[in-house]
Amino acid sequence: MNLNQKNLYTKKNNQQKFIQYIKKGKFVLPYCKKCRKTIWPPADNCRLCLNNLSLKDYKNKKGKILEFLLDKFSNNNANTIMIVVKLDQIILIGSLDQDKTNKGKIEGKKVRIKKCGFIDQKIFYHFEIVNN
Amino acid sequence: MVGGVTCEFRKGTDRDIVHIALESALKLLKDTGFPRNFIDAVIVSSCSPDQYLSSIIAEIVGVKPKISHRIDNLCNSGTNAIISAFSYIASGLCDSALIIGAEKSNTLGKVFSTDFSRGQYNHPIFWGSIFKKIHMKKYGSTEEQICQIAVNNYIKARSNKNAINRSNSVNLQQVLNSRVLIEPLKLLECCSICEGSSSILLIADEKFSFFKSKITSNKRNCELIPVLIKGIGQQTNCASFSNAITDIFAEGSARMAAQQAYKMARISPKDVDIAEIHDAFSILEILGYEDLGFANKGEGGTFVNQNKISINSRGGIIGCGHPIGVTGIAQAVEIFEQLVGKQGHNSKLNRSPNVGIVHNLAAAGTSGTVLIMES
Repeated sequence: MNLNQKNLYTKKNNQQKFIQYIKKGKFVLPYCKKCRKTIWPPADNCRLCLNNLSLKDYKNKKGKILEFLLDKFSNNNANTIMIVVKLDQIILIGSLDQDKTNKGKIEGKKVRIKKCGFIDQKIFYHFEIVNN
Repeated sequence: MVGGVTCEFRKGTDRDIVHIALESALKLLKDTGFPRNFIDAVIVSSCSPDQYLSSIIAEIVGVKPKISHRIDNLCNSGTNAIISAFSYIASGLCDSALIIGAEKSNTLGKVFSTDFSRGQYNHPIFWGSIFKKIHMKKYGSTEEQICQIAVNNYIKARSNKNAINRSNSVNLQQVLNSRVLIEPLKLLECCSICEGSSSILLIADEKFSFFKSKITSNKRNCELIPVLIKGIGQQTNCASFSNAITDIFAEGSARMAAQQAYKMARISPKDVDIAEIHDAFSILEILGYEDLGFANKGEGGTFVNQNKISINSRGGIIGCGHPIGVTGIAQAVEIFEQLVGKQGHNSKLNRSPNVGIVHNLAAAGTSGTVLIMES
């Protein structure tokens, strides 16, 4: 073994790939072909059966708003609200533009990822409401 | 448990973590007169990144333990450290253990930054507000019921010389009118991260007479008063919010830990006299009532002003402050002091407490620890 060799482990794990894709604005999630389920957190192995996971593109996948809250703590855009979304079997906290179309009761409405990436070294998921 | 000390919680000083830890450790050793050459384990609970912390502290206090290490499990590091020490003693590896909690206010433990399911909303107040909103919607608990928790704990903190909010007094209207952070969570319903130190001594039950004889031969006016740890429960269901939110209102980690502890101690919730409940946000105390079996699921709000059990007599986390790795140990010290009859804190009980419970959570309740202590 050559100890002078740099970057011995060049293959990225699924968590690193997940972050890389997010940085490029692409939303992927790990999927287990054996369990036929989306698995969280992003890892190389399914936490149910320990089989290898593959990454699937979920950009256009629809989720459902479980809850929404008005965030007055962050210094973010005052026109966004915080939403808790169930996307397949995963639950994410993200943001949604607040406009006249989504004032009032928005729980249960269908959404999809509009934009994702990194801001202030934190991942963000920004959703948009979709019609059925 | 034969001794416990909690020192004053502070907003922040320029002390390093070692000297913060030493404040309570040295006071405990001096107050109890426990022979240092018989301390078998030194376990430090802290989210501090400082290297080799327990061994450095052991060296300074003149202890040469068999076992020495640090435990970090975010907000329930303290009770994790107690359980580890209990396990070493129960297995026969040790006869005694010194457990020290220490934390600086700029601790890394205040935000769990690697849970990607939270996105940019990784500060604990976001999941705190989600829990509050869900509980209000699902079970009809009211703002007044939930905010009363904060009022009660601020009142109790006023008689706790170590509490960071001992000089503050609030009434219900002030809590209800306090700044809204994330609807519906308000500023005065949240704890403050702070600096602090708390230490306890655990010994093997059968060695009590032996250690007591060693103390009276060394120092007068020191005494060991034993409190038994009768039940332990710990459960970690997950680490991420994504996997926590589905079970936190059902069979979550804290509920499972409580069931384990009651089973080990062979008691039921009605046997409990005093409780230290993890109230980093006021809604967590209501969830704690339910998970500990003091109230039925969804009825925690109606339990708020009961008089059957003394809850958070030191002022809770909201009243005292939250030095992350210290909290679980400080909770155990409070139960210890109440069970041995030491003065200092409020108790609504009209009887001497016999059984106390510690309820300590981490990371949105993904991990829960429950200890049952008996005088």
